Amino acid sequence: MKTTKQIILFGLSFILTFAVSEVFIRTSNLASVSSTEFYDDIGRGRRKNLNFLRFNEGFGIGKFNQYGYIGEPHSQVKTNNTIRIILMGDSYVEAFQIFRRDYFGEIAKKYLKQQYPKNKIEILNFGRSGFDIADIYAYQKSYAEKFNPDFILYMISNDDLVPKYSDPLRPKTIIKNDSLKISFHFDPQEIEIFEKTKFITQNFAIFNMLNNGRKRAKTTPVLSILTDKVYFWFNSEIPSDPKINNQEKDYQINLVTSKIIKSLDTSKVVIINRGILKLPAEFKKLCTINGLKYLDLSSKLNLMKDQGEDPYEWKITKKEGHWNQNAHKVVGKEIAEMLNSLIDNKNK
Amino acid sequence: MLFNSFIFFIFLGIVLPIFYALPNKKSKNVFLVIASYFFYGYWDWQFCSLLAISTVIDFFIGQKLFNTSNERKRNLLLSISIISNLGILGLFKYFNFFVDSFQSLSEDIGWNLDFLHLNILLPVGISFYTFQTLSYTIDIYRKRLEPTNNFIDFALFVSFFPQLVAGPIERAKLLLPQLSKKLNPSKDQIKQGVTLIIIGLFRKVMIGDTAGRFVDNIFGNLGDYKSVEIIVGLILFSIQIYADFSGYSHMARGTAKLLGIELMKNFEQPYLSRNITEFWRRWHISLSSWLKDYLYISLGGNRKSVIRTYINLMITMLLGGLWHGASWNFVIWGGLHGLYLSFHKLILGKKKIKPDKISKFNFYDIINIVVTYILVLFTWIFFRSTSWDTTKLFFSKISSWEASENTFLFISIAVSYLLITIIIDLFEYLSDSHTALLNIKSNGIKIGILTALLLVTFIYMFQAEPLPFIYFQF
Repeated sequence: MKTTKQIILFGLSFILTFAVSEVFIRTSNLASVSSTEFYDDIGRGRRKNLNFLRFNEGFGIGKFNQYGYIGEPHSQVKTNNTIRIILMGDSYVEAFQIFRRDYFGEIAKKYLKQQYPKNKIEILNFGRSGFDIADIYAYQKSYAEKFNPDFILYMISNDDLVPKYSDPLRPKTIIKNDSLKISFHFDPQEIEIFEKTKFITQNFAIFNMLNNGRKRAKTTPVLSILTDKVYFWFNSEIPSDPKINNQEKDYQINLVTSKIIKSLDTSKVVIINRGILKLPAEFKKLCTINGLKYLDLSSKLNLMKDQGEDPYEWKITKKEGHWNQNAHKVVGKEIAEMLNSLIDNKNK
Repeated sequence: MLFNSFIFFIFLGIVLPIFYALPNKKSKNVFLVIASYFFYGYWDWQFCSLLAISTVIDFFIGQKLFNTSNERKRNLLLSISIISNLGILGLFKYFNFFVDSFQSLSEDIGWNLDFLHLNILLPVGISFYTFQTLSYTIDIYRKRLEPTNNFIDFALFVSFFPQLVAGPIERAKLLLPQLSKKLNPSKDQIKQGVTLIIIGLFRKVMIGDTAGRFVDNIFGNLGDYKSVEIIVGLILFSIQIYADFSGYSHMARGTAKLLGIELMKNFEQPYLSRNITEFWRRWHISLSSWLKDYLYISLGGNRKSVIRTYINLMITMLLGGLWHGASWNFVIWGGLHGLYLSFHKLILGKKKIKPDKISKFNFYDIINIVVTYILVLFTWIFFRSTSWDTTKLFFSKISSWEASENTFLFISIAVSYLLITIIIDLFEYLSDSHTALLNIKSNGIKIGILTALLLVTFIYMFQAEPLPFIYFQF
């Protein structure tokens, strides 16, 4: 009887302490809840109306608006004097590392506002971490296009040119009967797992931390996390730098990628190389042959590096990662200037 | 080896069973010396040599000092101890600072002193063990302590791993007698030790480290942040440094208890102080009492003229600031505290502040606590700014106020961190204990709370990089 009472008291005090810790974690924003939701029309997407605060290589604050993208909410209806630009790409575009005011899209918007004071400039951030070109295309067709953009910027790098289909809960761009098709067939088992676990990951930051730990364990050996440098006394493998990965040598354009490029609306879509390495010449040629506008940011990013300002260096956390604030400034300016000339041409 | 890393717990998991299994005092102490050197050498094995040099010098000087009645010889021996200890500290910690400071002054006359700049690493915790060993020889010199004849005991006194790198700076008269007996922790010590380690780890990791992420980003890039965000950054720094250092001290005391050793308390809820004098009785107690006993009193304390008392106080606080690091910002920080203390002393006159704790907080006490916190907060600007340029930028950002779109968010974050700190502190303050949790009768409740705290902290640690303790750099 005494033991049972102690076990009950143990359970109650454990749960209460856990709950108090959760309240502290949530109010202090020291960890966040899961920001993903499953939607029938777009698969795994961002949760609507959710504030986020992230610490990674940088420090970012923002909000997924009621439409599920980051930034000011703009509905699908667009007014006449509005110039609407949609940014598409991966984590570089979504940019969890910085404040919205430092985001390259905001910098470009400020610049364009000065150039076109009579127009309303809207830049919508449809970037999503882990997206490759096929994910971008599927997201554009299934959702982003509904927002009636004047321009759609595909911001990609070498790593994004081959569809990876890495997330079973994302729609897939595939080829069927020699034409592109977006498949919304999701593995029911994966949906079931997501639906079963989402209550705890979306509502409890502690469980989301646990999930982050699980993800970390997938990329970093658990023993190295637990045993620190003792692990490296016995394992001296040096991980390769993913940025030094030139696919130029035996590059062949992927069939799905090729079809995507050929099907894009040349009056709206601009292909932008957001990487520090050039995209393969064949790919660039494919874009230009098909009449797509092409912007290469690699030379600007390399120039920054040559001038001792590594665009990927985060001095505070001493990490290499996504673009830092200075890189966002450079990218924002470059994109704004390119858009400026596109808008001028369109207005002529 | 960081206390807030998994490897420390693995280390502890190996050291404790061996320690408990060893049969006698000698084997236990020898083993602890080896474990302590491994713990310290884990950062860089070369640091161990400095520790060993300091140990050998002070052990022999201590014995000679005790066996000599010749005053000249005693003065000489003490000088050797002070010069060798402070010489090592000065070389590693302050040499480049003074070269750089002198260089900036001499640039105008065309002198280039670059060649004098040494490319050396600052050994972790050197200021702590240097002060600890100095107290040993000074106490023998003052005839307040008899030296130990056991070299192993003395080596353990200097290198005892729970408090080696960031204190508490222990006095030989308190620690050495404990080391001269067979270490045998009681059940109560083990319970208290485990509780202190878990609460300390929670404080350090969940409060200190997480607040530190905001602070590092804001202070590392002040130019990019708005006024209110910077002020919140400062408030969070006040929380971070307290949670970080008091968390470490809790863990140090807890680990020592598991080995049967009692270390002094280093913090007693300093942000609940009603005036600056009380603050210094509650903040980094082992350092402030060291400075009082070995610097302020050596300078004459309040035994000479009134003006001399204030000068002594200022010198003590300025040097106390410099102890924290080779930067003029730390000197200003110390100087400001010196001014606060002098002003308070002036107001108090011959009255003495009541050391008693308040049992019931009244409005007047709360106002005093808030004012004292704000005064301390102001000094943290200088402590956290890594350079004078950062300090100037801080003030210019505050004076030319910029609104932030994240004001509400930042304020709610600051309130959340302040609340958790106040709640934990009030709990400790009112119970007058760092292990008040153990007063709960039910074992189920105690174990439930501690298990949940440990689990949450471990989950956080697993998905984040461990951050070093702020005071390791001092």
